[in-house]
Amino acid sequence: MLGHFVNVAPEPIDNVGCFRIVANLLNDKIQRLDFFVGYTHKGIEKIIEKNPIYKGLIFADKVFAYPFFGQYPLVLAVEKLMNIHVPVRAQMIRVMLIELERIEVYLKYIGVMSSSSGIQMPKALANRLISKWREMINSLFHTSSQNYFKIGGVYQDINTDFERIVKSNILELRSVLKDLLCLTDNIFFQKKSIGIGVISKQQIKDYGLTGIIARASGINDDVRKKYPYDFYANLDFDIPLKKASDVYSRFILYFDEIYQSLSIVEQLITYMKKQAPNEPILAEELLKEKDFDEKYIIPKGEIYIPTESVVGQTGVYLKSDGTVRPVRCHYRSSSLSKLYALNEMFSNMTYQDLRFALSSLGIEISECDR
Amino acid sequence: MNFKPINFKTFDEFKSYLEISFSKRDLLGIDSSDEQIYLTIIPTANFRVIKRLKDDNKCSFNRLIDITAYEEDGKTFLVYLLNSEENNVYLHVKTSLVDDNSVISLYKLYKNSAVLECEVRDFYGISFSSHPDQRHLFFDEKDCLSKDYVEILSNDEGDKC
Repeated sequence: MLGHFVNVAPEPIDNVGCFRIVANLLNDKIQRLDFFVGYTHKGIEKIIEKNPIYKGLIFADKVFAYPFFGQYPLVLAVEKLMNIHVPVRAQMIRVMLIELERIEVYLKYIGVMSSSSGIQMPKALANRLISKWREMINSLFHTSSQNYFKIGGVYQDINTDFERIVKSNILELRSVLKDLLCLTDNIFFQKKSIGIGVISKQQIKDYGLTGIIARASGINDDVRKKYPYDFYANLDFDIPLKKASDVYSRFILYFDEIYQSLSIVEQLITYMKKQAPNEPILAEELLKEKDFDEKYIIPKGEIYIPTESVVGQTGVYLKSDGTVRPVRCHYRSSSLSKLYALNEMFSNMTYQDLRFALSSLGIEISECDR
Repeated sequence: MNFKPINFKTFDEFKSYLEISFSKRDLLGIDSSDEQIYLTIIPTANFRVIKRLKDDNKCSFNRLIDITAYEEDGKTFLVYLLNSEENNVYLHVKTSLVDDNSVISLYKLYKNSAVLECEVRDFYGISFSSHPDQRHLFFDEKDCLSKDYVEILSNDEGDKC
């Protein structure tokens, strides 16, 4: 093969997990991209299959760097097979937690993208906000972010003072978002992002890509709307779309999605205010005093439950033979397909654009090496 | 109801259309629950059945969501998860593998199948013929996630013990 080889990374995106990309360059043009994963494979699916489901769920938070996105589809799949009706308050709390977490992750992506473009200031601004946001989530849900989701509900009720805490933080977030969005007026940023890393609709279809990448090319693809789960069916929100399918449009979309998540959170606050205090947060079937191995028997069957996570569609395929341990628990990884598509998407790109383009895709290696 | 009644009026109509679309030689069974359809096919028919599902204008299963496998009662089952955006339906295509554990790769239909098949091959030792990428993605050893896998330990001199 002509040209020379460059090891990009081991960690091109400021992200949890480790992977390697080898770029074959001819002058500064990329001829071919090869990816290597599996350095931090944890075998979580196997651990979940070997343990009773109530124990396996604890390990599910390691699938993602952000614990709730890993637990959510598994909890939904088990509930579907067990035919459990989750109380409305628990559904609301779950959706609220997921949307607050989504905002935090998108802020992180915005920071990473801006630093990858060579402009460092927005990242510092985003990071400061992220730490505040993290503190808020911890104080709201009385948890240090691990193992909050339970089969049939949630672990604890939300902080009673949630309205004041969330609203004051949202106010600050909106003002910072305005500052961050100023970056898109920067001529250097525009030159580096507009028309760079374009992914065609055909490529998206061929490689089964979802999430921001699909929506930036104009494909209306959001599981929250198409297959609404939990409380999403009662909420009113839009799916922001762009047509250019380049890095710039993906950057703007992250902002648009944050605004939609904020609107969801605000709607949830009004819904929750109307509720009477001390509403149940765990399904009635699971409140009975029984042996855990009897209580959590998953009826025979198989199901695939998709959810909209930060990287695209994250789903769980669950197969049970009527015992407390599932026969198969498989996570759908969006990032693996993205990595495989890199070679076709980004060949003929110049090397200096690669890092910026990679950071716009939202690749989570912990999700590949699950 | 998530099902979109564009090409078919009801979900049951869609299911019965799928049932008559394939010969009884290829299709071993069809089932449905929670608006998801489960097809059981013979292992040698995987390519032609899924090609038909993709090319059919009414079905249009144009997205391969995932490929996975599981073991039950000493048999290995391979599961393809397909999605039809037009009808808003998920489809499970399941096949039980025998002896040689080899099936045709779906790379010509869906490009992402190459990497998903790599993962299944690494974990369950299922080989795919006419696969474009034969390297191991996650593990050097074969089928180390299957139920009957025994870990081979080696001592300092490299002898297997």
